[in-house]
Amino acid sequence: MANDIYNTIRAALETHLSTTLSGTDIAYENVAFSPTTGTLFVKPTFIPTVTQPATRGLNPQLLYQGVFNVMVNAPEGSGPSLADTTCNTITNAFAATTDLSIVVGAETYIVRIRYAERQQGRIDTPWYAVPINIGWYIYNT
Amino acid sequence: MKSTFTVNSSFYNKLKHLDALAVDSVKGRLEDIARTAVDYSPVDTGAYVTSFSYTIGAGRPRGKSSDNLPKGQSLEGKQEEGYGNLMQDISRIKSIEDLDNIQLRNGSPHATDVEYGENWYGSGYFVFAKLESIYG
Repeated sequence: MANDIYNTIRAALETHLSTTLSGTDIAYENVAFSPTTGTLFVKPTFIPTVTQPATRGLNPQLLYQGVFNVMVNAPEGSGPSLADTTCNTITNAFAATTDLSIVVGAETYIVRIRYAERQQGRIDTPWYAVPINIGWYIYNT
Repeated sequence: MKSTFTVNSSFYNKLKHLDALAVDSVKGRLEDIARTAVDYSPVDTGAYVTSFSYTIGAGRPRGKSSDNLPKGQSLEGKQEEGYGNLMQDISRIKSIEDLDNIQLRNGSPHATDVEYGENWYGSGYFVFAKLESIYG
C-alpha cells in the first residue's frame, strides 16, 4: 500500500480544500489552468518530505509527513481583505489537530493536520500572493 | 531562625557537565538541519545556498545576490560551501546562553522566489517549508 499512500493523502487534502472553498477557482498541479484576471484563485502544492519508522522491530508502522502548500492569489491592488478572508477560511478548515478521513476500498485513512501557518503576502503581478503551509502526517504500514 | 547549607562543588561540576551535554545535543540537531537545508537547495549561481546563516549573537546574516554571478556552478561544491558556512556559525556556540535565540535565515534577495516560485504557475523548492515539516 505504501506506493499508493501518497495518492490517498493528496486526495484527502485536495478534497478537503475543494469542499472548503466551494466556488473558488483552484489551479491543481499539472492541470491546465488559466486564471481570470481580477478573480481570486488558489494553487495547492503537495510536498511529501520524510517517511520514517514509527516503531521498532520488523515491518514497522511508518510515519509519512509533509506539507500541503496553498498559495492564495488575490487580484493585485484590491486590498488585503479578500485574501485575508480566504486565508482565514483555509487555516480554520486545516487547523492543527484536524483529522481528514478518506475511504479507499475497505480501508479508512486518516490524515492528521499538524499545523497551518499563513506566511507573509507579496506582489506577484497581477496577483497578491499569500502562502499557507499546512503540515500533515499519517501513520500507515 | 536560620539554616546554612553548603553545596558541594561537585554539584556545580555536574551542572556544567549537563550544560555541555545540552549544547552538544543542540549543535548536533543544528548540523542535521544545516545538512538538510543545503541538500534541498537548488544551485545555479550558488548565491542562494551560500546565503544561509544561523543567527547567533551579533553579526550580519549572509545575503548574496545572483546578479552578475556565473551560472551552472557545481551543485556539490556550492552545497558544501553553504554547509561550511553554517558549520562555521555553529562553531560560535560556546555555552548554553548562546542557545537562547538561534534562527536559520537565508538573506539572498531571491530567497522568496526559491521558496515559492517566481510566478503563480512556477513551483518553488519549499526549502523552509520542508525543514519545518521535518524538524519543526
